[in-house]
Amino acid sequence: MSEAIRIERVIPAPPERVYRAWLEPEVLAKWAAPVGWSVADCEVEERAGGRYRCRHLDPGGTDMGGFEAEIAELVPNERIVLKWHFVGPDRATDPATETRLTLLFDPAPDGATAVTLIHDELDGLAAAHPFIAENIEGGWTGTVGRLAEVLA
Amino acid sequence: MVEQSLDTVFHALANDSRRGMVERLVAQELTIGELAGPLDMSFAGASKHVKVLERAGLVDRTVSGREHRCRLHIERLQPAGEWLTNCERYWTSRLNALETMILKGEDLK
Repeated sequence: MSEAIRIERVIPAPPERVYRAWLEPEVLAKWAAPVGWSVADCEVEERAGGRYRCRHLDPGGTDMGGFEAEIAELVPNERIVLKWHFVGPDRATDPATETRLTLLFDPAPDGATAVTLIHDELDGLAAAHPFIAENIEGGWTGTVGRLAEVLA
Repeated sequence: MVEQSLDTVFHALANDSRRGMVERLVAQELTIGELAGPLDMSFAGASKHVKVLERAGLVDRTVSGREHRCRLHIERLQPAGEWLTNCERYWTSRLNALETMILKGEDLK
């Protein structure tokens, strides 16, 4: 599966600002947790090979794990590539379930940014962990057309 | 042998030709020859791809004489679709949160 998930979004702020929102730990902490959960702490070592992680708490304050990633590529204001793992509270990562998250930031009209998020190399994660399916609200669209579109 | 798991389904779909076959089988049953046609592929090549789809439980094949008819079990795509939908939803909701934060200027100190 070369490109499993691709989401494009125009955000009304310039690329520099949207790029920074992914790299400043205090800023990341404001939006990077699933709805209803909070961010306990985030760490970003801003360099290729650097650590990129966040710890999530549920509404009762229980440690829910979060994500552990390694920065694979950084092109200021243009592109971030991460080797991405979803982790449980023990924060153990398994090379077999590593995925790739690519973020592209392109200037859009009126000083906005077109963000393209591509989450791929999901096969290993899908095989080992229905984690996401269990943790996030479900729903099947019922059409293979949509699946084909997502997989295209 | 059918090993229905996300693993085998994603593997089966991790190929352009096989995705093309699945998309065409949504509409109707097709023979291996009919599946091979638009892909500019030999019968043996198409048959190999169909085997992968069979192993994942997505397709079954009925042989009558020299004709191998393939039928899609569309419902067996459901777990893989659900998984991707949820994963996509995770990111959609994170991007919503990012956008809200930027609109409120919470990223600016």
